[in-house]
Amino acid sequence: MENENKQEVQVGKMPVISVQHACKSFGKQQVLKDVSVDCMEGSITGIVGHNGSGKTVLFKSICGLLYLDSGHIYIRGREMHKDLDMLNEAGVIIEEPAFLGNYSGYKNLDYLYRLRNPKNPEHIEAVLEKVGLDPKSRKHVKNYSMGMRQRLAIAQAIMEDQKILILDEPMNGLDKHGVADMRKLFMELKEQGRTAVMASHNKEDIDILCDHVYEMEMGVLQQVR
Amino acid sequence: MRFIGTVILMIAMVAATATGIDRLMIDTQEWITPWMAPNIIDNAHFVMTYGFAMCYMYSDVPFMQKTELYKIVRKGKKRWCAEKILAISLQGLIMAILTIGMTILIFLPRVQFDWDWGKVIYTLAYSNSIYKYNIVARGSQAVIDKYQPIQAMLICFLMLWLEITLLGIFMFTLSLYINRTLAVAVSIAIIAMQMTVYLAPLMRVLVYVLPFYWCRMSIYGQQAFLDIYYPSFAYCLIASILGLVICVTAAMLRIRKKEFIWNNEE
Repeated sequence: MENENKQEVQVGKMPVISVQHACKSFGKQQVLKDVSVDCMEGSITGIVGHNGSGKTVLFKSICGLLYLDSGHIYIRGREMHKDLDMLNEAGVIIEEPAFLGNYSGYKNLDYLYRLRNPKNPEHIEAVLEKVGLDPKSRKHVKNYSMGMRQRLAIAQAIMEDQKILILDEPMNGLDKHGVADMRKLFMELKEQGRTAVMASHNKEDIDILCDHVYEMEMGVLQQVR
Repeated sequence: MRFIGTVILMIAMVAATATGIDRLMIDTQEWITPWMAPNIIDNAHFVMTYGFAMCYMYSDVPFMQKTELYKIVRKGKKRWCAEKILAISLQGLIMAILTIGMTILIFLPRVQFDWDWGKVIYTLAYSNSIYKYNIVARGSQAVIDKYQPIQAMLICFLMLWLEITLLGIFMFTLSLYINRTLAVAVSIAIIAMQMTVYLAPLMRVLVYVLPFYWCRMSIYGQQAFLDIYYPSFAYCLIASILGLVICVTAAMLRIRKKEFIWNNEE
């Protein structure tokens, strides 16, 4: 019923991300149960839920890292795993930040950036500054605090100016100031027209940042706002 | 880091296999030519230990580790897989070059260039000096009789590169289908099976299915035992290339439907 209402409101606009009747199981455990959600251009869609409720599996499926047992995922009308190999056009944070521990934050970003773009040291430095990290620091990532790693993960997600952001617990490990900084950053990105899907345990983050809010419980997704 | 560790292991293995030759050179006042590689790599113990070292080197090929996430998302699965295969092949190439290079560097400064095999290698192959000086790497009569030095060096390098790469890509493919732990375990088992090659009932089969054994140039087409013959060079070359093609194809097919679940690997 809620999905039907949503379709009516959004009629005439193609969602950037559309998940339709997604089901996914690992062995006998069904992790996603008929999940449907549309994410519209320039909006932030928030998903709240306990650990193990299926948020990360949904995000991984949207990115193309997992295959659905049934259902479909469309990115700007193109079906995942049919028209698309993976969701390459998104900035992604999934699970805990995973970087090369023996390199500095700058080197990690530079390496990832150059996989698809020409070298641009000024841009990398600017992105690091934007998330509150020192671009000149030679400190290895293995010696970073959890908050610094999270800032670096956010930097890698936004550094290529991707129009879509998949953010799984982006505020994890950040202190009070860090959370405030990142909220401001995400609001700026939203104003620039980026489309984001965000998972968070923190209700305040969701209330402030998200246009649409869903709750996931035992693999079932329900719209709450 | 493991690549550096493997290089150090390889240097130690070459040094251990070449031990005693320096004393022979000092006593005879003859310097060695740069063509020892086919003779050192012909040693059965060297080939097996070298195989284990290669298993160690490729055991940290980033199969499905978390640090790959950001790369896969950016590259896409097919390109990621293709680049991994290319990287394994390049790593094998570098290791083969370093190994061949080390079989020359280890004898410096007592190396002199000659188009022929040189007196020291002939002595190692045709005299009992190896026992007098406790030399492990005997010169191979089969290699010296059959090949010119340059020809032997090229075949030795080619087979070493092919077998290292085949091992790495086999491990990568197996890790995509099952997991990394099994890939490492199976590869170690295949290398260890070289110990059982001399058991006559198994020999008939094993010499045809253990790729690292094919780095030994002296075996090509030779009689192994009664009516059992080692595979020819053509067989070893074609089988290695075929193995590579099968592994690469299998990996590229698998990656299309592969789910990326990091926890299984860490």
